[in-house]
Amino acid sequence: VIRNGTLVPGDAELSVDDVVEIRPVISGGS
Amino acid sequence: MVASGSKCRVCKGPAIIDLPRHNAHFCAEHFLELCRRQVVKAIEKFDMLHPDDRVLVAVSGGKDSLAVWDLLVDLGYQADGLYIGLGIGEYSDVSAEFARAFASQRGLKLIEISLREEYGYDIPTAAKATRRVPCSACGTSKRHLFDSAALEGGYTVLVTGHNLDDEAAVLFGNTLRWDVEYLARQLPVLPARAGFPKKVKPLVRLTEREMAAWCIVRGIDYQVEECPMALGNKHLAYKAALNAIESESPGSKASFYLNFLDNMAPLLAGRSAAATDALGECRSCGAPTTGDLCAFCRIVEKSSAHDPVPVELVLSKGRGRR
Repeated sequence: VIRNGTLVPGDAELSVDDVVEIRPVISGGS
Repeated sequence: MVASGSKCRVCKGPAIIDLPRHNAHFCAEHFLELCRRQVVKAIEKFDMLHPDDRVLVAVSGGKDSLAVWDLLVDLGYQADGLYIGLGIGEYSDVSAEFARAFASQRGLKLIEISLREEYGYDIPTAAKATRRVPCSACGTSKRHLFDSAALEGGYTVLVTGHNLDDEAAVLFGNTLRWDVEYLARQLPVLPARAGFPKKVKPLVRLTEREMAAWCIVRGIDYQVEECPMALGNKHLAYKAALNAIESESPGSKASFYLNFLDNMAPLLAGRSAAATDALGECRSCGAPTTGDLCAFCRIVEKSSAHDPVPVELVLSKGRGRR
């Protein structure tokens, strides 16, 4: 989870003004 | 800004990431330190690299390859990058930009090879021409070009960004089939031999989530989108299965792969020797092969004679098969 451009752990509390990005990490190459 | 309640295990400062397999949280500084330590541990345990090595990193523009390049330079290794333009539409165009930006911002050397410009085909066309799944033509093309570029460029080691999730997923697939030949070769280091450079995977002790976090903390922009041609492949299904197990039992993925290396791989040593001992030379390019023409030259022969195929056409056919 990225909040306002900064990585935060899963238990971080978010405020209504936060800009949040949940970025996928699984890639399919082998 | 609302702070997280979690504290770094090392310094008790605000944490930026939770790592259930370590049963711990870490701040940015100590998370980066953990990653460096894991890479150094892998390099030393498996004798991957030496300070005087000339290293070539296979770079896709994604998080893993840029992270491993960054980590190796950070650790003091002399490492150049190699990007292969696969011709997968906009996905490849954007991926190339991330690789170029990373290299130019750090003053690093990036070698580029374009399949279309130099070999007359791209991956969508190869998939259509060879009637195989795109990942097959892609993997064969990349492996051949990585090997030849490393040998021709005088590099002593070829590095790839395969991480713990990648290796565990491949191990899972090989185990489901009890494919002993592949299991015997699934090692983090493959020594140099005739026609092949030494190949190493320094990220085998780190997960892809950790590599994404490394990039974010280090300010590395990377291709976040998944390759459109990989959607629905078996590798992703194996990863999903392992992630389901990991969420119930943190650390299972690392135990599965790393204990394989410690306990099972030694028992399989030599089981792939018969295949490698019997290799001849490709009549076209001279690369090692079991036949008259190597797999890469067969792809070039079929695909370069084929009309270019748009990505969308292969995707729509692939979705129909799945």
